[in-house]
Amino acid sequence: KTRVCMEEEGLINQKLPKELLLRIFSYLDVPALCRCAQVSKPWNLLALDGSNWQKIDLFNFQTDIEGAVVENIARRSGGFLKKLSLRGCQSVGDNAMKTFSEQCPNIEVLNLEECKQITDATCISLSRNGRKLQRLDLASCSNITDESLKALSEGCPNLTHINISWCDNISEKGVGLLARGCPKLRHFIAKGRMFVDNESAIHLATQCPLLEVVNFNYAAALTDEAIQRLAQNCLNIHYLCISGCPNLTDATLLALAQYCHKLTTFEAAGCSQFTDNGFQALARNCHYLEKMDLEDCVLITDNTLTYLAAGCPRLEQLTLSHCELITDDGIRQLGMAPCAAEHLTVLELDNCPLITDASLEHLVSCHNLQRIELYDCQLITRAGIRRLRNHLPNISVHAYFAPMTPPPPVGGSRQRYCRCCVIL
Amino acid sequence: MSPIGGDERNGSNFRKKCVIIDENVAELCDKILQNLSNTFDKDDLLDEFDIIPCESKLNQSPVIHDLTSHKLALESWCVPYLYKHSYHQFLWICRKSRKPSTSSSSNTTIQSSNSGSRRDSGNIASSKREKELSRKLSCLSESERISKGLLLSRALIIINPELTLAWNYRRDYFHPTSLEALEREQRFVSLVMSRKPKCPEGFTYRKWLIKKALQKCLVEPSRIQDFISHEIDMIEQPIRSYSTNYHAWSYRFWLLELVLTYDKTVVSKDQKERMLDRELQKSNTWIKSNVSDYSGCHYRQKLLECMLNFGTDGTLLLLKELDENEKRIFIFEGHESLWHHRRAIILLSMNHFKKFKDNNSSKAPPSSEEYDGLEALEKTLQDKESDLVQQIESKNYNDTENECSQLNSTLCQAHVKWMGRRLKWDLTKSVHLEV
Repeated sequence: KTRVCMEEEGLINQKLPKELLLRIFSYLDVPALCRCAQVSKPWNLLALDGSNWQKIDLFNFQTDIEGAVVENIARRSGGFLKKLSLRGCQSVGDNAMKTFSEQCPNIEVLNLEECKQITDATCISLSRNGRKLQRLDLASCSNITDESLKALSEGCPNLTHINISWCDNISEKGVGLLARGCPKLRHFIAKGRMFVDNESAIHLATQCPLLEVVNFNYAAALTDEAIQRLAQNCLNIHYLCISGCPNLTDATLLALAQYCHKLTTFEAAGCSQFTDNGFQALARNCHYLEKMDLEDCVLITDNTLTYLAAGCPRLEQLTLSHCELITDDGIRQLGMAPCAAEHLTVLELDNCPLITDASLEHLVSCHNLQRIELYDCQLITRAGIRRLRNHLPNISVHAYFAPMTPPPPVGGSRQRYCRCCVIL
Repeated sequence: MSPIGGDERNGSNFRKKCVIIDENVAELCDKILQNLSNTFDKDDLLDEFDIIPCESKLNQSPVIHDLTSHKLALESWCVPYLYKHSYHQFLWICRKSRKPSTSSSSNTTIQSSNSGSRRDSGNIASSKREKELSRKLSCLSESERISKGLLLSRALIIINPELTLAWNYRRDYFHPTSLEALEREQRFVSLVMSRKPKCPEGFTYRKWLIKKALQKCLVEPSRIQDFISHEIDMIEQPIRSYSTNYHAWSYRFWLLELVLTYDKTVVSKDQKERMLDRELQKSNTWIKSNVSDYSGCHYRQKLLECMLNFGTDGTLLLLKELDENEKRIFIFEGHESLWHHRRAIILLSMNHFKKFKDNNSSKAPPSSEEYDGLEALEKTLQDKESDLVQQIESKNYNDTENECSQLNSTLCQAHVKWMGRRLKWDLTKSVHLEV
């Protein structure tokens, strides 16, 4: 005896008002929405309603995404689309992006990282139509040149976040034009551009006083003057990465100490000319420092740690890898610092050969310490690590000692009997 | 209160501790992988690798690298952890790289993590690890994922060269754009074979590399012969390290044939002849010092066949070969490979003469002289064998104590039987057959 299901009973679109339904659908991601659109006509209308397509992330599809897909999405979402991520979608080209920029004039956040086929034409069309563009990520788009930045400077005055990492064809002139056209710029990320960016920094300094996040990782040509000018004019900088810029000296640190008091994250790995004097000034003035990466700053000694202990009560992460002059005494100072007990979470001391088990003793009072790196510190012993673990059970200690428990057998834990027991 | 306890109360603490240690293992293995890949980047000319059995005593990297002598070693304590961890990551990457036919990629990751937890059911640590792995690796873009895959496959192959999955991954994703890149990959395979000279996977991969190089025209036509000769020289090392290395010798022959298939414009007849002569000499020296390397003998047989097809004077070559073989049978008593070689040479001679006869008979009726000449050759061979057998039997008759000569005589009798069966030569008169 079969029971016929009455049509009116189960249909969601008859039970709930449209606004609620749209709200429910707004939580779904792209694959789910596409599946829902294939269920029935009402579902199709609801799923493909523009309001569900304000924020789209196509990262999980990567190379499967071709131009046509982007064009379809653009047409479907129209003016609703505000955030789109095409990171890793290597098959997307200029034509698709042109259609996209024409159809979606309200775009605010656009991620084109690793879309290697994109050229200047895309940025030109974006500038023509995307007046509301705020955040643009062009990392690893190697075909982009100064023309793009020129177009963006003319068409997108609201730009606040820009990422041009690994774009070797952009020169300082382009950056200068961009700075002039987008004075609201707050985040400037330009990693891996080895021969440029000294002038860029000066352009940014003069034109973009609102800068908060600046990343010049691996810009090996940077000199003190550039950072000094940057510090002087951009007082709001709280994240600065100058790792891989070996030409910088203490003068940079002095400038930062003088002007950028809001600095919280400071990455200076590979700046091998920095000495204790620079850090003394920095610690004395920048009290909000939370994360510091000083890997390969080989000239710094325990004195730096004393200064940091005294001046930076909020220090959470400190990297001192390869700083060969650091000894147990410096760690003792750090252990007694006001930041140590509650704030310090990550401490990297790998390749500091003078560190011994005594340092680990000094760190037992750091209750929030989650990770400590001790690779290649040859004077550290298993016993020392065990003692530290006794005091701080949640800590993960990274060293080259084999783990204490043997690895579980790869083939599954089948109980094995020796031959005689089986026979018995 | 120490968390390292054994009683019931501390059970959950202990399990938590295991989880923590597992996470540390992942970090440790990642660091060791990083060290390995830095070593590969730093030193292009690595030629030897081995795993050193030792325990973990010092806080020192288990990757040992000597830049001056280009040797690489790994301490054995880290190998189980490193291998297991790399393998998990590599499997994840392989699954992700496979194009899903209908299901979306999010579906496949759910499936894989489900199957992972089902496999280790009851083991909290590993399902958590699976999720952690999934989270860490899914934020890699495709090109990052491919380079990570190549890095992992390199580490896996160097520890376990039998892992076909890793080799196949490299076949899919290693695209050499220049000759230097290809040569670097060839050196890597040699490095792997320095530890395991008899892995068939390595040789098939080398074949694939050569084919790829020639297909993509990475080698200029004038340098093809040098390129392949260089490769033949690289094969010397696995041949020397492992006796009767069948895969090495068959690969060597494949390379030789490859050169011979090129026409006059690329490789001249002179070059080919020189190559064959050189190989013949090398093979002779090798057999002199490695008498029971039957793969080496087999190579020599194929080499002689090649030379006959190439058009050198067959008779002289083969008769000389039989003489050499005879000498060796007397010096090295009891080596079965020599007898097998002899049989192969005899067969080769007979086939060659027959072909010669057939070829000539089709062109013009043979003169009675020539015809007689060929018949005479066959008779000569028969006589040679008969002499040999007689000498061996007499030796054995005189010297019954010597085990080697006993063995030699047994082998000789087997040889006579073979000649009777295969060639229909009846030499039983010259020997006292013991059934």
